[in-house]
Amino acid sequence: MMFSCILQAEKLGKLTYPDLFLSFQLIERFFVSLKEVFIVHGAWTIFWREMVKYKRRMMTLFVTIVQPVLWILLFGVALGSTIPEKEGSISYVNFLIPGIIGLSILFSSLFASFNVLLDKEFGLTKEILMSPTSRNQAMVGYSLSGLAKSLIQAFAVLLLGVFLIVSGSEKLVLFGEGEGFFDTFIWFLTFVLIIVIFSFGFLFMAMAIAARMTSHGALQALTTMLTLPLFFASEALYPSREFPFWLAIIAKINPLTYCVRVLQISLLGYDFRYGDNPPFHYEFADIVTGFIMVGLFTLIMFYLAIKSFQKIKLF
Amino acid sequence: MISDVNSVSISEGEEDKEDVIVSVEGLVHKYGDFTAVDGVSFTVRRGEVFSLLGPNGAGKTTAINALIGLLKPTSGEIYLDGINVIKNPEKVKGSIGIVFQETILDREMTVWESMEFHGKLYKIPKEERHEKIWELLELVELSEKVDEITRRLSGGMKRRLEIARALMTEPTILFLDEPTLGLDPQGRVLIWEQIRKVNERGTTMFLTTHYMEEADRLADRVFIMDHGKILISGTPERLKDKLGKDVIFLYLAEKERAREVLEGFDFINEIVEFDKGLEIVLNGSGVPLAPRIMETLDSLKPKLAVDGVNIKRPSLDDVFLYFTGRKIRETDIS
Repeated sequence: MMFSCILQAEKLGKLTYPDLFLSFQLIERFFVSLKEVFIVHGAWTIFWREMVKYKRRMMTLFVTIVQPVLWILLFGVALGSTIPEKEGSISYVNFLIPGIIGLSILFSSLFASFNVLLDKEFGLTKEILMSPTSRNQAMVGYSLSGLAKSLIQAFAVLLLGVFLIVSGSEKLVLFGEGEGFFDTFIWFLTFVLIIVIFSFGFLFMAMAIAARMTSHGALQALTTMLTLPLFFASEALYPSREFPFWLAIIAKINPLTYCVRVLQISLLGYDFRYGDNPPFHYEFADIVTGFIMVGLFTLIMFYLAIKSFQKIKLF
Repeated sequence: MISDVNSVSISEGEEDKEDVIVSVEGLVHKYGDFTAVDGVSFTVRRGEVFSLLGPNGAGKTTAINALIGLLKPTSGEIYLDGINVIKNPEKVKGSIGIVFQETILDREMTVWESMEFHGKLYKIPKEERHEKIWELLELVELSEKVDEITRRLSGGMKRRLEIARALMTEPTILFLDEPTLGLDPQGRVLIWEQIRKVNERGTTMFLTTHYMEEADRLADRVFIMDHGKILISGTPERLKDKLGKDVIFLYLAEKERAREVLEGFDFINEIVEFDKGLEIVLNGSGVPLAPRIMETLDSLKPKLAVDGVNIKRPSLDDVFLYFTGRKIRETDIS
């Protein structure tokens, strides 16, 4: 059954459809891909390989953890020092933790494209795609390893943030503070789930880009060009309510905005404020919207990534 | 001399159908306007070392890529072990091994991990996989390097690792695209040994090369390819016999005068000029004939000075030159 799935997926992959978004085959292919991804262990083989290398290169691990740490230390502490503490407010560093987590995931996910480009360059995609491992599995394998790296980063930021706040003997707000073990657990799950979906979204985007790119320089430029506006036109560093109209539009369609919002709610609760800024107030609906928007983005990127991987030329 | 031979097969004999593992019929592949492979047909027999010989750009790699199902040819038929490769490229994946022309190794993984990764990709169960890794590393004499990062291996070791890796799936046929490209003579000889060893285990070998010596030493049958066409085929010995005759190289300055004198002899088939003298193709052994030529030139008045003499048995190089009108040059290689 497994094998027939692969065959079917490969067969479908070779057809071209003029009207893809509405076609029945697209939906079918989507489900075949999903099935294949969750049943077959080809993806896990690629995941295994990436992790072997990740562990070996402690430097990479170090850099991925240090980068967000620097953001919090330099940006959070520096800007935080200009924001006066107020009764009932959390510190700016505390407010910044969800934003920096979102930022690290965005960066680390998009940079996963370089692994694929390197494999294309050294011919390893040939080795992989000549084996019974299908293109879809290969794509998901790369993405899974990227996800692992994203999660490591997210928790590194979280730990550091907690350490900073506690060592500064400030009041710490985390995971719906003070609502009991069960609530904390649910908020924790929400936190992990939005990270997983959001990270996959940008990992798939990275896969779609890497599959079509041949030059390191161009990939680097494109990645930087994407991350900057995504990052600044979001709520990661500051609230978006004072944004001018055009910037607010970008923020509205920016998946990072929605991811950070869910992260903020899960970490800081529905109501919070930092400094003398007006308080934030969110509701359960904001969580639902957040998941829907990030989920939609991820689905579209999943489709694009699969389509791009079908087009990788092997020689 | 060249134009009358377009495609010759020397005493191929009847193909035994059951012994054929690969059969290619009228293979054509075009990249846009450029025809890389132009109507090639051949068969590979089970258990043999088959060599496709030709300069860079002859179409060898394109042919291999079509044979392993990586490339859909413009037209033609390819059957591998009874499977229609063009219609079912997925099905041949399991029964072939391939060592690509360029080194394909993850520079950051160890020898063991590279093998492990390959075995996992092909879903070989753990115990069988580990057993096989040891056995094959033993075979290619790399078992002492299991924990070495591939980046630190020599060029020859990398090649041997790639050969071992390709054998993990126990392929019935192993494709080797220019396996000794860029290796030093020592490394080359070691690879040749491995290729022979693997062949003795029963694996059919499909080898492309532009090194005449390589085809000569290893191949049971050689197919010479140029400009997308197969020019001639046969065992290395037969191909050399086709030219059959020894060649004498005379190093001298007065080429024209010497040529006039020598053209009268009936044991000389052909005289070709090269930059330092004359290349004389004989119709018999050079050992008794060379002194005769020397005597003749010596007795001329005024005396014709000869700087040096060299007798050469024909090599596959000469076969290639004979049929293509050009030499395979190292400078062709990028």
